[in-house]
Amino acid sequence: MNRSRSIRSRLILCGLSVISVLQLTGCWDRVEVNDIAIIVGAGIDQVSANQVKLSAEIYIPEESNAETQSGGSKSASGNGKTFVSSASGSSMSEAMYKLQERLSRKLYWGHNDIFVFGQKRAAQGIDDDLDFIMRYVRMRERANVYVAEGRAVDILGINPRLEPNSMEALSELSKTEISTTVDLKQVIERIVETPEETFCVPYLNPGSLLTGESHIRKPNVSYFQGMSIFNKTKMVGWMNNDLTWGYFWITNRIKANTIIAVGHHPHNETVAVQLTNSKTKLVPHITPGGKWIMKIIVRSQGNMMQNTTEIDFMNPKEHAELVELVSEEVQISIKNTMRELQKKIKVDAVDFGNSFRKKYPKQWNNVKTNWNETFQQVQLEFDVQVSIPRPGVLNQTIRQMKGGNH
Amino acid sequence: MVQGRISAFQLAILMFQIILSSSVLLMPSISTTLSGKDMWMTPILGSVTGYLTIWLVLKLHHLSPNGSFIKLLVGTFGKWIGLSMSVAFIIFQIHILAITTRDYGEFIVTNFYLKTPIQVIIGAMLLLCAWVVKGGIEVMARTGQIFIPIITFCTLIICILLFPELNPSEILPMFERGVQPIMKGTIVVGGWFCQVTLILFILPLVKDVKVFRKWGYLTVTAITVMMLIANLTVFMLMGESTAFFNYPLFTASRYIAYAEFFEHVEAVVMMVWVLGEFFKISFYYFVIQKGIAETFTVTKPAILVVPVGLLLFTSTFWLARDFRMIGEFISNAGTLYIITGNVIFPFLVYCIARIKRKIGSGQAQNKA
Repeated sequence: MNRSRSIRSRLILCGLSVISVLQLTGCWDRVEVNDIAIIVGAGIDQVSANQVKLSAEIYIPEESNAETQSGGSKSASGNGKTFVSSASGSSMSEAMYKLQERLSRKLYWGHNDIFVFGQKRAAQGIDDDLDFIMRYVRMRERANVYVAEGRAVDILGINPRLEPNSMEALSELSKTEISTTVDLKQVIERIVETPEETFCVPYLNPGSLLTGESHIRKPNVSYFQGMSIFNKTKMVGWMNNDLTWGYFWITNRIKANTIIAVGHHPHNETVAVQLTNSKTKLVPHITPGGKWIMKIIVRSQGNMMQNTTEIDFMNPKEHAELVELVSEEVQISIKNTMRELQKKIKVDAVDFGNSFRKKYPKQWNNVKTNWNETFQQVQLEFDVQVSIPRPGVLNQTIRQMKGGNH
Repeated sequence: MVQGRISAFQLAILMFQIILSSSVLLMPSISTTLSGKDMWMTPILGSVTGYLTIWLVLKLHHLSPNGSFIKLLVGTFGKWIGLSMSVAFIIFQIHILAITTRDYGEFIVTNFYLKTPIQVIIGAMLLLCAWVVKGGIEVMARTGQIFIPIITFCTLIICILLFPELNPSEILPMFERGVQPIMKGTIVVGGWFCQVTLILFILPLVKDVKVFRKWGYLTVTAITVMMLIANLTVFMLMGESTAFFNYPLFTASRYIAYAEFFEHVEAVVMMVWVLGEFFKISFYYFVIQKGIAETFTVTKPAILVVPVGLLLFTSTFWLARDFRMIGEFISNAGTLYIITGNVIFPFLVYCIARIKRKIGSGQAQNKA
């Protein structure tokens, strides 16, 4: 009994070891690092009525080795560590297939952080591309989305001076106060949750403006020129940098370090405040008469950065005047943005709809099918307060000190 | 065969995992589709099914001679009807397990091993499960004691890491679409909770059944809390777009990024999923094997392990041709199917057995 049992277990062991030999062929999904082409940024352009061009900025792995060997002499030639390759097709997936044909390595999307849409593509609508991007398993929801004036391919392959490649430069800049990050997750969320698929993404200057010869970045031009506005997944307009500033205030995207500079009449003196924190709250209200009102409450704090006016920071009465002056400036910029959105672009880019939906679900249900119409009628109320608790290192203006000496 | 005996606490841990393993990953999407912004309420309401099932299972257990459900069926309905009922019940469980196993394979093949044949992934898993089942319930319980806390911890870590990205106001307004959509979602969640019925077969192996009542209810509460955490995290992160994704928690974990280097933690979700499904599949596997052994009074249940494994392997592919068919089944008939088999059927058995017993005892009294 015991013997037959041990023979059986030995047979089973033999069987198992034979089966395990099958596994030695390795994993089906093995991917070696030197078999993949890592995409760091992608651009999507409309080339003709139904042709879309996909451009990918691909990391060159050998470059860094070569550079260390040659002692950095190569970097002066302006050769970036990436190259751009593009292909066209009837859809983004076909374009990707064509793009793959040109490369000896497998395209790898897992590290792609940037999607840039060309202006024409954005105007045509980006929902087809989003379907591919979201469906394809290797994509990352955190990848940032941009729209570029002109062609997207011109944005890729820019050689920035400070960062290793333009995609790095873009994503770093988006984190600062001059722009904002809008990633795929946010875009999808807004498409699902807004009745007319409304969202905003940063709008870039045309690549031709940003670069000079051989793709070297021109130092005097900013990447960003505002925010583009999408409705029904088509780009319908854009806000310039001034209007974008107001947009940031309304949507609570304003970040610390933002500087509010106020030109104070009569002699055009300046009061400048550097923000330390800011919070915007939207309080919707529907009057019994059926008027839709949105109260925009801004509570910010900032430090004095420059003061060339006669106003004394330390004097309580004049301090209030200072606060008033700065708050007024913010309020004006919000007003300007809202005027543009309600009267010209006529799209709820600031997501008022969501606030109303949360507080007044019933009324919202009645208007949501053509919400943008109602949005134009929404009345605004303001409660903006930028407090300035600290004067900075100086407690008086230079002029005041001089005055005191007299 | 060394069947071993386990404690009520060990069974509670296993139960916790077999319900949670697939629900954490799959549920947020389904309940968002059905219940919209109120999806987070569904685990709370759905847990009622869990409590009821625990209550029912314990009642049935007390009714059954030697705690064997099959013997109760035979005793109540006579040999042939009782046996065919138990065969039907086991086939039903095989079907549910086939769906679970297929779901497991589909997730791995969709998101990680795009080129690996699904047969290999499922086969490897079943091989491992067969080994555990052969080892008996005690081995499974001890494995669970080691790994289930790790699984739970990893799931919680993912939710905690997502915390800064969450937007709590996403869940407003409440009751936007009324009560009916919430009920729809609740029934689906009930479909997960009712799988607790499986422990009917394990209870005879539990040393301290008396304290299991407490553990059972506690486990259902713990499951509810975990589901709630997962649902809220995913929904506050992705809002209504949760419904778009097949595996929202996986998508959410991909969104984790800290300081530009702590990224790509989605592999943790895969680990959670594989380990969790391992317990679920082996638990079901064990129950099916035990059920067959009891139905046909097999003296050495261990010889059933390999045949049952082969049956499971093939039935995962008989069941559906592709992802669409499984999805269609789960979202249409699946929930009612599983509730019918796991709650309504045992409940009817319980009622009939009680009535029969009452009549029986009444007759006995009359005779006396």
